[in-house]
Order: sequence, then C-alpha cells, then structure tokens
Amino acid sequence: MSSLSIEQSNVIYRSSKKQMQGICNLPRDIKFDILSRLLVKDLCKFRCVSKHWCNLISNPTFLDFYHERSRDNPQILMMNDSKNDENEQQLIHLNSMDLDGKVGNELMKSIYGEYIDMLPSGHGLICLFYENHFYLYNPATQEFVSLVEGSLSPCNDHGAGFGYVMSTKEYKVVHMFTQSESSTGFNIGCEILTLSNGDEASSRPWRVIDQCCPYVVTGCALLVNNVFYWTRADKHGNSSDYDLILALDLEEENFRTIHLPNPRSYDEENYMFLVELRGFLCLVDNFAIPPMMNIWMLKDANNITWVKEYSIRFDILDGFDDVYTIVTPLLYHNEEIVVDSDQDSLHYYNFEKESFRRGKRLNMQWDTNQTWERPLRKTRLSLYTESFFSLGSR
Amino acid sequence: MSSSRIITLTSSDEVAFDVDEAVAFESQTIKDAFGDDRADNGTLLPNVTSKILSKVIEYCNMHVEARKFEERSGFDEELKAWDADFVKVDQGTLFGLVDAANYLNIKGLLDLTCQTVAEQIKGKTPEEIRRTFCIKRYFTPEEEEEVRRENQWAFE
Repeated sequence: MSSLSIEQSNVIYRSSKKQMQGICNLPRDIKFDILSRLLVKDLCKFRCVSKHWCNLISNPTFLDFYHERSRDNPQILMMNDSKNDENEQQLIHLNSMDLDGKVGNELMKSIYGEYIDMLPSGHGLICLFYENHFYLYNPATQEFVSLVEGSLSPCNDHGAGFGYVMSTKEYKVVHMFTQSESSTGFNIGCEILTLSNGDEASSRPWRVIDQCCPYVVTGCALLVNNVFYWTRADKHGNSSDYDLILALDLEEENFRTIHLPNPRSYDEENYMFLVELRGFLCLVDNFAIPPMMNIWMLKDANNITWVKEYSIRFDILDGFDDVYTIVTPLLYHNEEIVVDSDQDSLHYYNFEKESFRRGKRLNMQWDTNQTWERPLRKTRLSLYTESFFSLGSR
Repeated sequence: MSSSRIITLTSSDEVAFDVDEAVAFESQTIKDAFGDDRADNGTLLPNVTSKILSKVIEYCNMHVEARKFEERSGFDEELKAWDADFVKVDQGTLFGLVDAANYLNIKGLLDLTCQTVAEQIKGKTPEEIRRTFCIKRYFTPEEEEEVRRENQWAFE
C-alpha cells in the first residue's frame, strides 16, 4: 500500500488541523470559489465582516477571478418606462434578476427623453440615451450616472453605440451627430467617450474624432473586439444601398465598410441585425418564409470572411407567430443560444436537440392599450454580468 | 474486458474502506496517482477522517451509479434532490467535505459543497456571518467605520 506523494499530501496540510474552524482556514482559491458565487452587492456588504474578508474582497486577483466567472453567469436587466405627460421626463424602472427569474436589485429614475434607448454592453454596464443625453447604469451596484451631454445635432436620426473593450478594460460610448449644415449638405461627426474603472463618469469628456462618418447610419452600434459596427449604412441621400455594414475601428479611429455575406437572398420582409456571439460579430438574418434564422459569423474581420454558422428554424419555437414575432439572439451560453422572442420568458436553443426550451417565466409588463391582435410586450430586456465597475459617483 | 480492481482507501484515523476502482477514480487525485499502475491497490489519506471519507465515498458511489440512468427523464431532478439532501450536514462536516473534495479533486462534490456554503452566506448580515462562522473582526473601530461608509450603498 502506498501513500499519496509528498506534494499531494502537502496540498491541504495547512488546513488539516483546523477543519472544525471552517471557513477562514480554507485555501485561498477555495475562498475565491465560494465568494465568486455571490452577487456584488452582497460581497460589498461582506467587506464589513472582518479585515481579512475586506482584504479578500478588495484583492485585484479576486476581482479579476470574479469578473471572469460572472461572464459565464449572465443576469437579466428588465426595463419599464412610463411617461410623465406634463414634461418630457420618463420614469424608468430597472429590475435585475438571474436567469431563474430570482429578483435582484431594483432602481427607479426619472430621466429626460421621449423614448429612451437601451444599449447593453454585453458586460457590466448598461447605457441609456435619448438624443444627446446619455446615462450609465451598473445593475450590480445600482450606481446610476448621467454623462456630459453629447454634441447637439439638428438631426437626431444617427447612431450611438456602447461596449466594453476587454483588452483595455474600458467602456466606450460612441455618438454620431450632424456636424455642420450648408447648401451642399452636412457632415456627420463622430465623438467617443472612454471610461475606465473608478473614473468619475459624470465628468468624462467626449472627444470628436478627425474622420467624419461617410455614411448615414441609424440604430445602435455593436462593439466587438475594439470595433463598432452598424447596419443600414447608406451613402448620403442614397436610400437604396442597404448592403453594407459600417465599421469604426477604435484603434485607428477610421471608418470602413463591410459587405454583407454572399449569397444572401434579400427581401423586404427580412429583419436583419447584428449581435455578438462567442466573441465574433454575427449578422442575424430572419426570414419570413420558411421561418428561419440564419446567423452569419464574421470569422475574419480583416479579410471579411463570413461563415453561415447557424441555421435555426423558429416555427418550432412555442409562442412563435410569423407576423409579430421578432426573435433576437442575446448571447451564446452553455452551448445554447439564448433568444428573446418578446414573450414572458427567454428561450434557449439547443443545437444537439435542435429544439428550444423555455426559461423561467419573468414578470413582464404588457401594453394594455394596444390594438394589435396579440399583446405587445412593454418590458425591454437585456443581459448584463455582475461587475464591481465603479462609475466614480460614490 | 478486465475486471476492475478494488482500491483500499485508509483514513487518517486508520479506518480502511474498500471501493471499486470506478468509484475511487471519481477523485482525479487518486486516478492520477494510480493510473495504469496495477501493482498498487490502496492508499493512505492522511488528511481525511473516516467520517468525511465515508461521506465522500457515498457521494462517489451515487454519482457513478447515476451515470447509468442519465437518459431517463426526470433523472436530473432526482439526482439534484439527492445532492441537496447529501449536504444537509453540520458546518464542520460541510467544511470537511469542501476540504476533501479539493484535496481529492472531485469536481462535482467541490462544486456542490462550495455552492452550499455560498447559499449559507447569501442574505446574511455581516454580524450573522461572524456569528455563524466564528469570525473575529480584527478591525479597529476607525477602519470598520470607513469600510462601512464606503460600502453603505450595499446596505440600502
């Protein structure tokens, strides 16, 4: 009979004597493991438990470990708004919860704007904006900050975007605006706001980049690997040219276009948008007949190589209605694609089983004044990850 | 197909447990140590008491058996329920299991026990945590006040 080697026996040597005293004597990486299963708000409370716990929960190594792990455990943010008819304020109601529908934090804010757009980053922060008014929210810490106003723009039908750059650990907000008007037309300027952890977000400045935006883009940009992407790019005045994606490279600060995947049967009924899956830019092509979602992945952003990565029939999705349902993939998680189909729960598409499963029922709000045949969901959803990222307001 | 051997695991208090190789190999540590070496058939575990080791073996037995029924519907829920019952133990035993799962590198058991400890911590106030786990503050009053102030938002 043999014993385990010296190395193997020494692994737990230091905790063997004090097993009965439990938690404080566990190895550091086990403490990390246990604590990383808790929400940010709880962990910040637990800094008050003891000096040791305070040091542990403020340790940069722990925070890195925590953030890496929380990326595998996305949470849901639900947003409801109600308009105050007397002024142009919206009362925003933000609710966090986990994928099981277990309720987390809640925040109510009154902010200016007729229709507030929600820009998730795919990470810890959410951006809300209306015209040139921008706000940042960390659902985990409930820190809510309004940014310096962006440039005023006579025409507000331009794009904005928000995202997280993993390599530099910065958040970036981008805003397009009409720069000047003359008899020959107008320029579309582009300004960027950069935010690092602990910066006082409310005083961060916008920086206008040198290059003007060569295309009119509408809608929100998606940030993937330090590049912002928009669909629906068309040259000034030419409304027929919808076959391009506009890319803003944040490192070079220049614009270029990317053609859509070929072949692609385009027809007016299609609903096309961009999403990030597994670290790649993806183009989602929703067809009406047959009800199908093709997801093209930009495998090589430099040589512009598109691969049709997934084809998913969504007539097998319960609750699907080919007139009203818009299926939005949110992220790739545990080898499934999580989609939002405007119902009262999320659905998960499993590639092996080639079927959807329904997630837990979430408490959503529905439009009671609507005149459509099918109730429209008022609540807007996005995913976020628990993060300690500080907006510098506390 | 060769017959699987029996491996004898001996606890720190010198109690010997005979387990099937398949069950023992739920521990990556044991699997690595024994591997293809067919001469050895037992080992001493100086860091695991018999009380804990018998629980660990119970877990491994169940999970090896359970794999035969993976395809059965409702199976997942049954196993989860069994796991939930399995960790209804006193604090000392729970931490003993965390330690043992880490030392023996049994991924499922480590995950289960760490999650259980996390659930016990969740929702408690700092004072409750101190009492439950016998933790001393080691803060000076000024330090404690500062930490509390910096994280006051978390208490609201």
